[in-house]
Amino acid sequence: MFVHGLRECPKCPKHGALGCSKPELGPDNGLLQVTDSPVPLPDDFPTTPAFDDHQHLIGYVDAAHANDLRNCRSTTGMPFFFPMQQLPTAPNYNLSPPPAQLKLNLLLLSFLPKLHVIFASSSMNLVTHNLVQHQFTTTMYWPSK
Amino acid sequence: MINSQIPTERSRHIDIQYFAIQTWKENGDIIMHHIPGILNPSDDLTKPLGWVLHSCHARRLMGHYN
Repeated sequence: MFVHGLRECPKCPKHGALGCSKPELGPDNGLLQVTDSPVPLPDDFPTTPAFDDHQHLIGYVDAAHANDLRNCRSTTGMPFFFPMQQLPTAPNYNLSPPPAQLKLNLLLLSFLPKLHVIFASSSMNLVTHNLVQHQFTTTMYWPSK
Repeated sequence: MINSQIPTERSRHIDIQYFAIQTWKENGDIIMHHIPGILNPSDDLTKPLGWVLHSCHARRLMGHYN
């Protein structure tokens, strides 16, 4: 029984009373109760491969493609372990640029030698500076035919 | 990508700077091993896993066990 606070009794609303109700139990989904002790692994769980050289950094990497549907980016996870100290470093996430952005970069790079023809010479420094600053990811300077 | 010394059909769009990993392998700076995803703790950082695998990888990342 959990006391949610002072409120009107639902059975007799005209009398102010302390309302008590049972907590709503969730469906029995078969999950174990979370405790502070490590979760026991299944018996058939494979063991972690042991590396002979225990004095070097060990890193794991994995990537999932296009998890970010809105920006169309893939995710890369890279945790690193110091085996001697049994101390993992902070895991690192990396979001790669979307494929369309990469294509745009390559197209802009292919147009780069012709920029002095496309743009006026007075604005050449500004254009180059902005292209480097935006890492060739903007369409502001897309040459018009 | 590491074992082939030239850009392959699938890695031709990767920037040339990332091919330095081939040099690292030649020099012996890194050693690459393939492990299944069920043992890879980085799976927890990239994929939605089930309760057992997530608990295993998360506790290993936090240093609860090796």
